[in-house]
Amino acid sequence: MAEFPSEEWLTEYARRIDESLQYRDAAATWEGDISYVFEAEPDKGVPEEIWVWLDLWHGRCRASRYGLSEEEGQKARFIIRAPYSRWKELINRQLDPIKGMMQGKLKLKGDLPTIVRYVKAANELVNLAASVPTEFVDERGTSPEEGSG
Amino acid sequence: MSPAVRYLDPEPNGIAALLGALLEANVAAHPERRRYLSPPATYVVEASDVSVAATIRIAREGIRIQNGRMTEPDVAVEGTSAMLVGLSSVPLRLGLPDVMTADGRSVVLNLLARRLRVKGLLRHPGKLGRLTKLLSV
Repeated sequence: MAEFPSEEWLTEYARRIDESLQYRDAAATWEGDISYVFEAEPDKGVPEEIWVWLDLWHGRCRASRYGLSEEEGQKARFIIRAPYSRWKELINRQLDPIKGMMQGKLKLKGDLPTIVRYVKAANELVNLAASVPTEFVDERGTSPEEGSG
Repeated sequence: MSPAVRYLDPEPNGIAALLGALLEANVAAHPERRRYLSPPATYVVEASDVSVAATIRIAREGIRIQNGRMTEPDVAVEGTSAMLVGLSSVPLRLGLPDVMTADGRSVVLNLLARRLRVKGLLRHPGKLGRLTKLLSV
């Protein structure tokens, strides 16, 4: 199980994107890299903003990078930004990405018409994030037994 | 030069930011769509599943967007977030969803079932058509 956020988690996520036939179909003509920004929430174990980068091209994930600088991350064609807790909600399927966008819970930067054309691919990226066996940093070391008191 | 989108609130809500970004990008990419900005028209777009709305006023000199339902609009569109995003990507014929396509038929079915509600459709079909053309990706 990979901790979120971590390089291990991102690597597994990128691998699943690259191998997903559903994503390949939905994003067959997609061209453009994406930065995700996990905004800091020190009380939840994310003391600083974390930038990660995915090189998405024609339904494949050609590369990924964890912990790049803001200056590097800003060069991506698209940027999706939200606090750590929102990303956790997305990964846990508690937040629908389109609703999140409408509510302003997810901030997008980049050519919006392109993103709207590829809503199916965006949903698939969320599905794939949800498929990664994940332990969240703010739940580290807890187990259902401990939680049940 | 594309008309400026002006947000009347210091912090546009999600739907206002989304609509503003779509309108600005579309008019910049397709300058011929500027002709749909006049005569002036007012719209309200509301995502019913998250209870978020925005008011849009279009005119030749620019586009103003405000959070919430701020006035009695010429046309009001209300549907789920997914339906509203779908409206932007549905193929159009004469400014209305093309029923020759599956996505177009889905929009019409949602209209008939009143899952997607459009007030002003009969009184202002031209204004509705102009909005869909301006938002179409």
